[in-house]
Amino acid sequence: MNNRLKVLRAERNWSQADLAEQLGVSRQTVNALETGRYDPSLPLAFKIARVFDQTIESIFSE
Amino acid sequence: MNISTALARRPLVRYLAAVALCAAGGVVGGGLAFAFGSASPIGVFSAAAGGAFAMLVVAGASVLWWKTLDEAAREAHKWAWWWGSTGGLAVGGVAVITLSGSGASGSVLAALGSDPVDILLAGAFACALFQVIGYALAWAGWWLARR
Repeated sequence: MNNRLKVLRAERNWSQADLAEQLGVSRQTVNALETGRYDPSLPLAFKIARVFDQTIESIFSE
Repeated sequence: MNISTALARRPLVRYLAAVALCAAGGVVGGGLAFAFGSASPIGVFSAAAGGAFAMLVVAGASVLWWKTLDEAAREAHKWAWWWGSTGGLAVGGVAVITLSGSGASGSVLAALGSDPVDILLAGAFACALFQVIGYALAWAGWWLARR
């Protein structure tokens, strides 16, 4: 699954640690998400969407 | 309220039920000891109670530690448990079978100790060791693949 996490994070000038803190996960998890090598659970995907104020579909794509 | 509802709603009840299940292992071990040996009731009870108490402490610490992990970290551990530990046990099983069929088992067993309990614990330790090695490798591999 592809995602725009890295772009969205860069637009806000956040570090991986900043995003990790807002999501309540580790920086390693944010890194795994950004590289597309770990797909988040539905609750985490909703949390990501809320943090970026976007829909899940606009962040994640097949 | 039935049993499954009570377990689902009350974490402490769920936890104590899990420990009680562990204590059932003591009943099995104690039963075997009485059936095949001249076990002392005090020895069986104290060993079973000590084992169940150890599990109470270890399980409690594990639950607290597990709650600190995020979902990716939990996934890494679950993946490592399934693939790493079972893989390690499979490798260890082949090692033990090879050892027992090689004809050298007598000298190996003698090196482990003369008491049957020593040999029993050595076998359990060998299995756990292979599992831990497999677990560690699989856990590290999971994270390395997602860097």
